[in-house]
Amino acid sequence: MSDGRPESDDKPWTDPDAVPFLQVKNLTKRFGAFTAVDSVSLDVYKGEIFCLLGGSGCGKSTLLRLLSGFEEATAGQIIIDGQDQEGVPPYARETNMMFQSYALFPHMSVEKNIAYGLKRDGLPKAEIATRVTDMLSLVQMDGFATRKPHQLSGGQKQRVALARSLIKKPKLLLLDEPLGALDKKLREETQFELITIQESLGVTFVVVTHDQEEAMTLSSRIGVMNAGQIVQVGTPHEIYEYPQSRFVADFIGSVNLFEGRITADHEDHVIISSPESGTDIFVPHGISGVEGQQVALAVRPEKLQISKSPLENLRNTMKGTIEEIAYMGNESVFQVLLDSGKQVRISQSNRMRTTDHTLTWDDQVYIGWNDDASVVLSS
Amino acid sequence: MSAVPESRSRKPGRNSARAPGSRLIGAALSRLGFSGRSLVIAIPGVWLLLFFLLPLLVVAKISLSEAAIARPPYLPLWEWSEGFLNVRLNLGNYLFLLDDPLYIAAYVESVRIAAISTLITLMIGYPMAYLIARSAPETRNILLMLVILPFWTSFLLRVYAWIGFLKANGIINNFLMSLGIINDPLVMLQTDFAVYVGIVYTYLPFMILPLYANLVKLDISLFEASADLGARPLTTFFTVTLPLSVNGIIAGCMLVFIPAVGEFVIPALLGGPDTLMIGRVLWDEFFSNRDWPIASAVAIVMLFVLLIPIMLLRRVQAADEEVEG
Amino acid sequence: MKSRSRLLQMVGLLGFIFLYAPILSLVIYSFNESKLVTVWGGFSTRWYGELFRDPQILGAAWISVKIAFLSASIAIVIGTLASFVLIRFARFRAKSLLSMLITAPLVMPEVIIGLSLLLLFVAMEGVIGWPGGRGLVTIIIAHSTFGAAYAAVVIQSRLVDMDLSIEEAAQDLGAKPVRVFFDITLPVIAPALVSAWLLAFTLSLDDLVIASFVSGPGASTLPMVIFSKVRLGVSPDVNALATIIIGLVSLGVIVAALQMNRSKRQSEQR
Repeated sequence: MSDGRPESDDKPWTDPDAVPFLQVKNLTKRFGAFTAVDSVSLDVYKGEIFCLLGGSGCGKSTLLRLLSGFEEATAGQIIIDGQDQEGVPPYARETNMMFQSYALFPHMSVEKNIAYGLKRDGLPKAEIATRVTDMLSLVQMDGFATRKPHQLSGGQKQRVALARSLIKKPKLLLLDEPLGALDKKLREETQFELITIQESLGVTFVVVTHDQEEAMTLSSRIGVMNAGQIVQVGTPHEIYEYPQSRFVADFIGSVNLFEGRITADHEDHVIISSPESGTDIFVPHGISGVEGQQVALAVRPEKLQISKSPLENLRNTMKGTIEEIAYMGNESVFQVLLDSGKQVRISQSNRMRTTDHTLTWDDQVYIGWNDDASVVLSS
Repeated sequence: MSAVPESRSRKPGRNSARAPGSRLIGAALSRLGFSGRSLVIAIPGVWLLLFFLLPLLVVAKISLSEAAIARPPYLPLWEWSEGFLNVRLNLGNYLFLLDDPLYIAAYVESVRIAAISTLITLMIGYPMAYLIARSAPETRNILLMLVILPFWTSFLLRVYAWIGFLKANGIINNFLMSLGIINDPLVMLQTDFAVYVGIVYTYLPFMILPLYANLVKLDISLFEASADLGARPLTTFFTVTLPLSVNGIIAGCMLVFIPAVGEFVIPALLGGPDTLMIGRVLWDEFFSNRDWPIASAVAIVMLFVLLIPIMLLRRVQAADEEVEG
Repeated sequence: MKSRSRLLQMVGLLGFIFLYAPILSLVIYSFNESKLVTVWGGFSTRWYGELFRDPQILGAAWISVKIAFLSASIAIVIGTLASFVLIRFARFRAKSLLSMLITAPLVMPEVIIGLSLLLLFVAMEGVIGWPGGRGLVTIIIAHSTFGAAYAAVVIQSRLVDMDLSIEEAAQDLGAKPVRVFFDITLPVIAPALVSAWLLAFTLSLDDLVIASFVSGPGASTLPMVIFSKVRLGVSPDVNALATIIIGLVSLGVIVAALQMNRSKRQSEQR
């Protein structure tokens, strides 16, 4: 985790005195017998890009619609900038939303689309015109003001939708899969633009996405959702390196899980007996568990080493046979069948063109990991 | 940052404070339990209750009254006399319908004529719908338009056109006689045959459109899969196409059958004096005999005859909506 | 395979001939000099002249257009509101009743609609003294009711297709529900409203049976006049009238189809 120095500027969540900008308290939404959002509590701070990440049907979109006011909560509270949002209809909320389908008004030009929100506020025409022009240049769409939505490409529509949702300078901008409809290349470029725009305006973003790469690049923090609940909140680094549950470890990236039981629980290390791996595993730090407890040990494929000769400098090693090799360009992934009968995945980055190609199918190999490469999961 | 956040931070509802009058009216309405929402429901709701459902109840009521020479020509169903409410339910009109073979024959004839016409319409409409659904998208739109276009022109005039075709010195007889195929004109006008032609002709678009809508949705790879698995085209048609278009067939048939049963114009213009159809009987009871109670009873019985086909149609349409939704 | 598809094309061709031959014959014989409608007596436009000098037909046509215009306008208001309620509103108690009432006129035989409305008007007159005789107003009410049913079918299918998030986006940007309806929903479904209006207009212009029931003295619509004429046999000026109607309708349908093709192409690009 964090090393403890005050970072309240760019990491306000580490400052116990900071007041969250958005507070969600025990929020629940039921549709009939189905609970879409299950007692979610969440704090988001000013200027954050907070990503809600989860598979389809996990409740992330419902949570977003609760924030924007399109759904009414069954129970719980939403507080934005100190104001309780209960009973505030969408048109009166100081949030704006960027829709997954962009939802551009098909019968209005780009500039009319962007100006729509300001017109509803009854601003003077001249001010609307300046602000629309400024916004168009911010999203690099000057020159497209009079086009109709059907004359725009997917990427251009995305910019117009962003401009339209930002023009009212909302306290909170809600983005529903903002890059979902773009192709991969465009998506990568747009991610960084989105961050630049967010930083220049200082608007707090809440982003819903199912794409973990998108969440990793965009967000200050990620809330991983499953079955209506937020299972872990943390920075991308925390989520990836220190998952707190089997679900998070498995959902973000890929992982090897070794099921086992704590057999020795010391202050500075624990031993986990794992019949699956055919060995006892050494973990070099204490954990909040008890002897005999069932746990899982998670090791990312890229943190595993593989070699034909015994890995004598490592404490945790196992023996097995290479079953599959997948060459992916930037890396190679090996699937190894351990002598204990368990399959593990190991990835090695192909740093040089002529990396060791000596490993091949059916080779007898040793695998192992550094002491600090593993994470113990109790749930 | 100046103007916007301020205007946005207003409490909801205060934004509407611009016109205090309209707000007062709004508040008064909402105190009476009228929201904008219920007003939106009420306008079509009240209209349809008043001008569709209530009239049917009036018909049901009058069908139970007794005819009289008066204005209106029936006796009231209930009366206050000496502090008592006298209700006179008169089932005589229905008994009269059952008693007189003319009415029963008219119902049977209507159903028979409508059913036969529906079958013929299906036999003509199915290949046409199939052809349109299987043609290239550009041709498809043109063909579809050609099917719909007659529907937009006057129904009455399209029926009228057949008089010129079918009558003794009409186009068909003149043509056949000039070819020497027949020597004396065929009697076609004022027969059941003319009624079949009229119904098939005017209702053909109602058959083609639902069939087309159904057939065009069928995935072409289904036919390819069937052919790939060794089915001949005809086998594919009977084992794949036909079963999958059953909803379209039912919808099309009901859309032709239901109005055909109650048809008045076609039997009146093309049918003979002995073409008994119930729509015509109702019309005559009402306009010629001025017997409103009997006309009402005829209408109520007709509704019951049509109840099953109407329910069948609704079920097919509901099933279609489910698939699409 | 080849011969079978050719057979299918033959059937299709015959079907279209069946659909169009009678209409074509009306047009051709409208230019017939002879009074015997089916005997060709040389080209003439004399029946058009007679048509335009016939005050009864002209009067009835004017009445019909007035009725059709007003009832189509009322029909799309009722049809739009009903469709909006059925598609956009959450479930409420009377929703299925409303859904039944708006679709039922589609399958109700015309004679029953006509008879029931007439009996209602007579009964209402007895109780509240309105509508006070029958004529334009009663025909307009009747036509609005079944026109609304057809309009609702057209409008509902458009509303179902419409992306809901467009309306939500407007609300999110500060527009209240009524404002969203007029700013967003109406313009987006406008083409459907136009077709619904035209459909209701045509159906009203075309209706004989219902109008005959609820009409009163002095309010004879065009179909009523035509019906009384053709009941006595074919008459050439009706052919001329038919040709004019067919011409107008074809023009309208072709323009509408082109328009629809254009907007469809636009929405496909979208």
